[in-house]
Amino acid sequence: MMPDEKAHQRVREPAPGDAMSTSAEAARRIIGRARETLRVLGITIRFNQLTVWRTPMAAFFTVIFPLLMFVLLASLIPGSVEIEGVMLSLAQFYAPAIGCFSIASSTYTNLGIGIAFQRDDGTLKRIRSTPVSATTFVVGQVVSSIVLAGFGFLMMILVGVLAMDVSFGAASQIPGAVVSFLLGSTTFAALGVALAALTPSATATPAIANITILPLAFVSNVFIPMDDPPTWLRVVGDVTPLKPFVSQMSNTTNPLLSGVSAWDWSNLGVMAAWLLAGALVGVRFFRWLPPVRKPR
Amino acid sequence: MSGEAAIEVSNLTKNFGTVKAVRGISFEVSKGELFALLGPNGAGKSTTVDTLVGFRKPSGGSVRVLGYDPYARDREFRERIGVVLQDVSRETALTVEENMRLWGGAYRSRLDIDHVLSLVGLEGRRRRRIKSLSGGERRRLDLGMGLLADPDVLFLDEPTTGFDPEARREAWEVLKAFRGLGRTILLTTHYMEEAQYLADRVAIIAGGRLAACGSLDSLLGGERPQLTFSLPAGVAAEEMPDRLREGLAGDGRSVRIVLRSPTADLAEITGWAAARGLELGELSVSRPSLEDVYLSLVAAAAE
Repeated sequence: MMPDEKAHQRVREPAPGDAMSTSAEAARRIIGRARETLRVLGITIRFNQLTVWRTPMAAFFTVIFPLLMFVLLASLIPGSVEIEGVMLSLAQFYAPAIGCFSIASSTYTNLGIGIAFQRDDGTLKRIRSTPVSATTFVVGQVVSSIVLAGFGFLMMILVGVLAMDVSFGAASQIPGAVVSFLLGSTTFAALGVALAALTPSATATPAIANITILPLAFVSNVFIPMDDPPTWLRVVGDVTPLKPFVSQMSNTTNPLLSGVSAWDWSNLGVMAAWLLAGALVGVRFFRWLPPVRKPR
Repeated sequence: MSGEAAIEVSNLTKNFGTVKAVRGISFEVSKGELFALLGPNGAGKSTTVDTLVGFRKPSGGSVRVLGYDPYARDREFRERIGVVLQDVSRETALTVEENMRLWGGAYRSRLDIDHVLSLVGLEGRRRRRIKSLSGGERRRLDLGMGLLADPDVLFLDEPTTGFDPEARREAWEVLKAFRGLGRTILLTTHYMEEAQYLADRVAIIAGGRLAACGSLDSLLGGERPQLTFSLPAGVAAEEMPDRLREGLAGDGRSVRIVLRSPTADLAEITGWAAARGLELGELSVSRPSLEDVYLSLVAAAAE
């Protein structure tokens, strides 16, 4: 039990700026800091990935559940749908749409709820007393949620192609698809951080997340393809981030729509605006400490 | 850094809205010292610890730890402190060893993980997932995480709550040995015997103010021994000498008096009883414990 002097030795990690020369001191210090930040970021991402994949319920709801919805909706509802003047099978329509919804669940819903609970149970507070800065910890979770979202979307493509007779991807569309994915997932992650920042307590977060994302899905061509929606529904869809995201992902992953430009600037612009808004609100209103119940 | 003080708190105040949680506290903790903060719930202990580790900004006054302003949260500062908070950490799917290896990797230097696991008695749990540990085991993991970087100053907020008596003893030995290596420890606790066993110095906080601060000897030394007994049936209170009657409790039977000159006082009291052929029930003379001092100070502060 007792620590004897021999066992009680510090194991030293190489520190940035160890043995630095005077000439390049400043540059090396900056590089050292950046490397250290990246290293710590790597630690938090690894922590998150281990946690997600070892929690079957979390993996199920973020990856398997949207897949299930996709297969059910595409199999149960007969018929086809017209998008941009092209007739598509429902599976072809649903794959990117529910794929986007799955991305939004991984980032906005899961991330927002996760961070709010970590704030309330003192995890963020605890992290703040270690060399892992809490900012790095939160950014690590953002990156981690985007990785998970990408995995979910790839699974959707895979199942669609292998089992649902969906055709995916003209090579020329890939850059547009990657940019749209990154912009969309980052936007919803920023909104997730903003959600965590604005909710008074963690227990309210799941309700607020669902009451915002579900109605949005209905005006964004996720569950029900709307041929000719009423004007107000169309406007609400156009100025919120999910519908532009769905539109981008289906335009860029569907070979039948390869005639449609992958770079619809109004879609990308609306997403970028929400990304900025989410990030500003998130940074401005973020709280690290749990709500004060009583002074102690 | 001034002198040999590891922690300097000067006239610290902290308000939450209109609630004054801390109302002007000053104390210093020397390097290598084990300092205990005692006080009832709501006294301001955790708020004080929160400002010392940089979670909260003081409303007034100043705090310095190792010469750093904690609220600036310098990376160097965070490398050198260890913190065990009151809330037990979250249950995760990581194993004990993974958790230590992963988060320990964030420090520039840390202790060997086998060594830390043996310090907190978790060698047999290293491959268990944290969510499968008992509450006491998770608390020991918290302590291990606090020790992991071999910090120069270790802050512990009620560290042994939820420990069984044996685990508590073991944790005490770890903290004593850690202090023996020259590290500074500040802990808050509700267990008087913990403070009495471990602490070099003790501060008692009540109502956001310091009610007392000093070594155990100085806190207890000023206290005189007490005599307690219960009055035999059939003896009326009026028959007692005046100064015994002053110590009579509300129940009209039990008596507790402070002995100003113990030998002479005892002779007088036992002489009075023996002359009347009385046997004083539950007769005992005792020095007050830290608990007695604590309770009387907290009661005085509440008035």
